[in-house]
Amino acid sequence: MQVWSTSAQLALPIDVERVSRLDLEFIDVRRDRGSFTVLVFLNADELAQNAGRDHERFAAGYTVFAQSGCWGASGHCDWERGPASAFDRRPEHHLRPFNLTLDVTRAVKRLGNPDALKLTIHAAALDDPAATDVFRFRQVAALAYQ
Amino acid sequence: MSLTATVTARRTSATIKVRQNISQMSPGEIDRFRAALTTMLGRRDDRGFQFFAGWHGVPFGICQHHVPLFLPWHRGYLYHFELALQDIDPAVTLPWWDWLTEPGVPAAYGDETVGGKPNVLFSMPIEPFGVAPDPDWPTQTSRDPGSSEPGQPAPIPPPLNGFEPEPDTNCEAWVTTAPSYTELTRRLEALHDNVHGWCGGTMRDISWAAYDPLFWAHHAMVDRLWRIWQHTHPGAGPPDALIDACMTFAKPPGMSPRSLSKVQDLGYEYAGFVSVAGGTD
Repeated sequence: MQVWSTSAQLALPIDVERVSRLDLEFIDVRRDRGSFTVLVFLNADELAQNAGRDHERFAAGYTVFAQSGCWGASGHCDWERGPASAFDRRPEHHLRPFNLTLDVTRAVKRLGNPDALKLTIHAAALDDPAATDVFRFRQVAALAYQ
Repeated sequence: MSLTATVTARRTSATIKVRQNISQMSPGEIDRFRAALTTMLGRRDDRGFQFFAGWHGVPFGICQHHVPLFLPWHRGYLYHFELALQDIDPAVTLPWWDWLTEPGVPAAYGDETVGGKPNVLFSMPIEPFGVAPDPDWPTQTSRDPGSSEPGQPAPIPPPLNGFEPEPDTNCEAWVTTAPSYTELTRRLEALHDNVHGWCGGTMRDISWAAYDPLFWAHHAMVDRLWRIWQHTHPGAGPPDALIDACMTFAKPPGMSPRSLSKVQDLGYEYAGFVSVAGGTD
């Protein structure tokens, strides 16, 4: 299982009570090593490894349906390869990372009016519970809507 | 010189067919569905089960996930698959698995044998169409529902309505009241991904999932929830930039989200009974 925390807190210099919705958006989530489940906790220090959806700091969970490894020949799953030319109209590679949006409004409001969010993430690969490099993404952002 | 041609009328039917909950179908209806699927499995050409199962992952890999075309692409996929079944038995429709209210895998798919014979809905051979199999590829579908390490993050088990994504809101209400198509897709794909992960085995991997007969009942449920949402959000659909996009299938016709938006235009419905009375005018 993977345990990961944000290195820097996500600043939240807003009045959370006036927010109608607050999302966490994970940018460029990889999906080329098999399906996995991720649980996100907010401002949860000293979190037990077996914390689940019933934990008071649990914010959101998601199971990503993905592809386990590459079944083709060399280069088949090189999703980073771009279009062949300016005339290439083919769709993007199906393994291209995607953005995952999780609604955490309820969890953030439960915290009162926090001025920052620290994320702690537990992620488990469904085919390999021992894997520790499961949930891979480029960036995470908090988006608040009035 | 003159040319004379004889045109033979195509066999057609304008009857809208109803997709049913697998757990409410009669034994006879399930037998007919199994028989059609068995015949389809025996076809080794581009009308056969292995051909259609291969569109999703190995070897064609043309499915759409985590993009706005997720719902229409899979509706088109089911449309093609159901027509291939109806070429064998016109009375057969794709059943759906109500994972919102039914605990676990429906019995029709979960029983290993039926009448002393292997149940074609329980497991299928995996023989990808038109390619030489790799020794590492699976050769038979399998499931491992609910398997996970204790204390580790895991998918939510069905019935999913036992889980409240928002206070006092079950999953069905959460999906069917989504305020926009984008939000509907986000919510519905979350449930969809969760069910794939919960089923385990073949269903857990995009490359092989469609070889499991349960895949089709799972996606009919996804399509049904979209249909219900459409009824209360008339005209709402994918973004304008994509509404006429030509989506790729391994067999003609290619179809756009617009052409797939009305299930009645595709010959099926989920509302099995509609009663109408006149109004005041």
